[in-house]
Formats: sequence, C-alpha cells, structure tokens
Amino acid sequence: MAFEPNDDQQAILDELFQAVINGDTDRCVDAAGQSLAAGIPPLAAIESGLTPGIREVGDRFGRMEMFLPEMVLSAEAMQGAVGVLEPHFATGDSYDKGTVILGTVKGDIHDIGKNIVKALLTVNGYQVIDLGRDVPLTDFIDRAEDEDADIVAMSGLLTTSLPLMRDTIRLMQDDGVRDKYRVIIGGGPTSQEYADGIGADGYANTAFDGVELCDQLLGIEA
Amino acid sequence: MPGLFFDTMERLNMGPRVREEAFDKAILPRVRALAEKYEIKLDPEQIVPSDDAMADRLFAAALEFAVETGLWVLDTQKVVKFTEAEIWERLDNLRTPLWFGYGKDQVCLRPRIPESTVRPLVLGGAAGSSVTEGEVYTKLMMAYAMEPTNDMLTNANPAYIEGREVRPFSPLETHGAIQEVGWIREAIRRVGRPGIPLFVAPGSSATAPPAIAIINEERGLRKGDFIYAAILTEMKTDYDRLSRAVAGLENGLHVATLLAPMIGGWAGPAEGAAIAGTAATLMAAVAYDATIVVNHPVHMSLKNGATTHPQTLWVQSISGQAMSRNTSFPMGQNVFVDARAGTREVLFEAAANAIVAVSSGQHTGPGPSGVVGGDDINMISAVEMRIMGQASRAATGMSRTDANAIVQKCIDEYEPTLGNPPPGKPLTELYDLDTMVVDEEWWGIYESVVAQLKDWGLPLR
Repeated sequence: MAFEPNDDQQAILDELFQAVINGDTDRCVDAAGQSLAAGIPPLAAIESGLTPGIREVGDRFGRMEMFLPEMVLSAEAMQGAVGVLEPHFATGDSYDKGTVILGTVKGDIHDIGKNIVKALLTVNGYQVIDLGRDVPLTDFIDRAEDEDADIVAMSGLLTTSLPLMRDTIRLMQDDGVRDKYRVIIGGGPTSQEYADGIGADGYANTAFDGVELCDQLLGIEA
Repeated sequence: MPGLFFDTMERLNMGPRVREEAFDKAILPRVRALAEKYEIKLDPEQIVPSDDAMADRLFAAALEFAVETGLWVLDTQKVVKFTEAEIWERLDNLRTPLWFGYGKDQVCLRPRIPESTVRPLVLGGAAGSSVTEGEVYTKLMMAYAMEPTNDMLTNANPAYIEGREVRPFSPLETHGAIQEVGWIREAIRRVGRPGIPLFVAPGSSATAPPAIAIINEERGLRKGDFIYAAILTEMKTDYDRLSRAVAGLENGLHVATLLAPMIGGWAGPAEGAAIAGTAATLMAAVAYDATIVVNHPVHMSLKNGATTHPQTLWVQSISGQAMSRNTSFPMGQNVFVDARAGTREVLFEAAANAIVAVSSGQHTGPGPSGVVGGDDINMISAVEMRIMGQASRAATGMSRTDANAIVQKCIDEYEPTLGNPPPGKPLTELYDLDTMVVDEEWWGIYESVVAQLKDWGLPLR
C-alpha cells in the first residue's frame, strides 16, 4: 500500500527533494534523519523525496540547466541520505538496482563522458564502481568478480579503444565468466554495429541512453 | 624565463596533493563567478559577436582563472601554476611571423585580429576519421594536398594496420604511426608538395611512444612540422602529453596544443567553457612552449565531438577574439563536423566553422573531420576541406556582423539534423580514386552549396 504522508511528513519529503536538487549533503542527511524520526518508512523517503529530486536533477541536466559538477553533488547528497536510511529498511526492502563496473579502457584518458554516465547511473539507483581512466582489461573482470557485479560498462573516445573492448569480452569468455555479466559499451567511436560485432549486450549512444539500457538489460521498469 | 624545460618540469612535483575530484568541482563555481564579474554572456543571435569589450573581458577572466587554477597533473596529482608576470613574459616574447614547412611549400603564419585582412592559414585533413589503410589512405591525403587552399596537412585515422586492430602501448601501435606518416610523405611527394608542413597526431595511436617515434628527418616529422600535445579537459596535463612536447621541441618541431573545453561538463555552460578554454590556451603557451593552440570545444549533446553546434561556434569565436585582440599567440579552430561526406549538411557545417574562425581572428582547421562509429569507415572526402578552405579565403577581412549573418543561415541548413545526420556516402563512392576525380553527383551538391553561399553574400570566387 502506498505511503500517505501527513503535512509534517510531506514537508520533510519536500526538504529531501530540494536538498537533493541543491546538492547539499548536510541538509539531505539531516532531512533523512528527520524522516526517520517522523516515522516515514525509509523506502518511502527515497521513493517520494529523494528519487523525484534526483529525477528533476537528471531532467535539468538534460536541458543544460544544471551541469556535471552539480549533478555529482546531487548524487553525493542523495547517497548521503540513503546511507542514513538504508540501515532502517524493513526486511525485503531494496533500493539498489544493481552494481555497474565502469571505466575508460586502457590507453584512453578521456573520461568526462564516463563521468557523466557514472553520475546518471548513480542518481538512478545503481551502485557504480568507477575504475577511472586508462583501465587494464583484466581490472574490469577482476572487479566484476570481486563486487559480484551485474553490468560491466566500458567507455572510450579514441578509435584505438575499440579493440580493447573486444579483448575484454574475449577474455571474459576465456575465463568462463562472460555469461555472469551484461557488458555494454559507449563513447565516440562506438556504435550498435560494433557492439553487436564484438558480442556486447548493448550500446548506448548517450549517457541517458546508458541508464535506459541498464534498466532494460536488468529487466527494471523505469 | 618560464617554460616547459625548467619551470613546468620543476613544478610537476611541487606543492600539496590535490585530489582530482576537488580540482574538477572547483571549476564551475569559479568560472561562474568570473563570467558574472566580467559580464560574459552568450547571445544565441550573435554566434560571431562584434563586442570587442566582451572579448577583452573574456581575456581578463581567462588570465585570472589560469593564474589561480593552474594545470592539474594526472601523474603527480599536483598543480602546476604560473604567475601573471610569467604568462606575460611568454606572450610578450613570441616570435612572429613564423614559417612552417620546407622550400616552395613553406607557409607563413602572421598574427591576425578579428576582421583581419591578413590571410589565415588553412589546415586540411581528417584527424579523427577512420579511413582504410594503405592506398586509400594515401589517396585521401593526396586529395587534401591537391586542394589549392590547403596550407598545412593533417592526418586521418587508419582503421587497421596490416589488417589488424591496433592496441595502445602495443608494438603495432608504433609500427602503425610510422606507416601512417610514411603514407602521408608518399602522398605529398606524388602531388608535388613535399615540403607542405605536417600537423600529425597519428590516428592509429593513442600514446606518446608512437607519436615520438615518427620524428624523423628522412621519413617522418621534420623540423618545422608539428607535434600534438593536448591539454586535457579541463585544465589538466600528464607525463604523456608533456613528453610529446619535450620530444618535439628538442627535435625542432613546433608544439600544437589541442584543447577541448566542454559545454555541459566541469566548466558548465558555454561561458564557462570559453573561460576554461581561453585559460588553457594561455597555459599551453607558457607550460608547453606551444606555437599554436587548436581549439576544439565540444557540446555535451553531441557524442561525436562536432564543433558546429551553435554554442561551440560561439566559444570558438569569442575565445579566438579574446586571444587575438590581446596577444599575438595564434589559434586554429578544429573543424569537426557532425554530418558525413556526400551531404549538403556537411558542406554548410564546414563553411560555417571556417567563417567563424577567420572572422574571429584565427586560422582554420585542422579539419574538417568527424568521428563515426565502429567499422563505419571512409565517411570523409576532401570536398568538405575544399569548401572550408574557400570559405576561409572568402571570409578574410569580412566584418563579424556579416559573418554572423551567413553563419546563422548555414546553421539553419544543418541544425535540424545535428546529432542525427543523414547517412552520407563513403570516399570510395565519392571519388574515382584511380583518377582522383570527384563523383559527379557529389560535385553537383558542392556547386549548389557554393551558389547558395554566394547568394548569401560570401564572396567565393
């Protein structure tokens, strides 16, 4: 049954919403504490306060009314609040959509696109393990194994990045772990055709498409 | 004297550690404050603004930002900084004019200002675009070198080397770079322009060793050619980039610094990207001892890095005006198109970008090129470069007001498909590569676009 807030509880949900948009971690964490004290179920605080706020951030980012650093701050604010709420989840409650191993492949130091994907996935409920730039292909696999990940996401801007994406998938096959993960690619020279050709599970043209793709691959309704 | 050989190298390991995340997050609030302080504002109706005072204010903002921000170093996680006096010492001692290349193919770069009647240099080529290796690559380079407006030649990206995909740091990467510059040398010999200056960042390589391996007086890059050493987005460098610069300078090459301020990224809106990009230009001059900067602003919405989004064109224009009005340090404007060869759209993109660059006091190119996906190769031809070069000549001396009017009309032609361009055709269908004759239909499209540009007032011959 959907949570029906009273006026005081609604004010706290509104505060969570606004604190996320403002990227104010302290304010967001405070509001999360207030929501627990006010008897708001933790999952309801996320779904009715934080998530609408972060969706608004994503929409504003798409319209270029907010920018990457602001979206990162919003994601951090939301994560801070979730950290307060999560220990109080009822049995069976879950917020994480899944774990994504993300990085720019070896030899490629262009990471802004990857950073945008990270921020968007994070604000949409994914736990993102960011391996950074210039990532050896073995690191993608080792971290996926260590973190029991759902998705391995590889990014690159240079055409020389493409074969390393193919190599990673091949190595996953050789190691017998390919079927444990969904593998997706993105970045300047990538395409659906290339993704199909190397046996990736998906390709995202934009960072926003990347979120939809992850949802789709994990069978999550938006 | 500040510069790469002592001050930059010394400062790479000085000062406290600065975490990258903290460095990145500090950029937007700072450029926002500077944009407000110096009243820098994009007017979408003025892609080529005629506001000298705003250009000068942008320069002041960028200088302030460069001095206080410095360059973050990936390998040491420290920040290299230069004082305003050190930056001016470099800028006040630039040698002009500069000569590039050899013999009859030498070209001269003279300082320009907005609306200058001084002829700009045109840098033709297709860095970033994948092309079939070997003879097709060589023929494409011949086609570029045959264009009369082309002053300097840049490379394309061979899709494969010896039929194989190239991995960074692999021996094939170095072999590929050597092959590539060999094909370029062969191409310019065949068309009788053996001394044309080369502006080459090997497309088959991502790392410094191959870029340095092609410095070779006999078969590769020579004194008077250029080596690329980028400043990373935003305001960052690393040992790889600096090593390229050192290798180039010690061998008598010029350093060309590519930079890509991002609209929507760490510097936020177009105004922030203009400040960050202009500041990075100053850092290239002082920290890399660069001869020229190639400005390649990108827009978050365009995955392939096209420079022809109206906001990126504005960043190119105002940044170029800021630098050329206040210094004699030259800028080229990377021309990266969204559409592909064989379409009207790509020609309007190339022309618009050239007009913006030249009327704003800069030089045109390298380009036009563009990144296309995966195995989708050869989607480029020299006809786009032809119109880019011709538009550059025609826009020389043009007022910014007139330039803005024509650029706006060009944008109207290609903007509806920006981000989702028509498919175009490959080089192998657009040229008879045996005879180097352009396909009749493609030539007809080119002529129709030339006629349209003339009708709008661009004085093309």
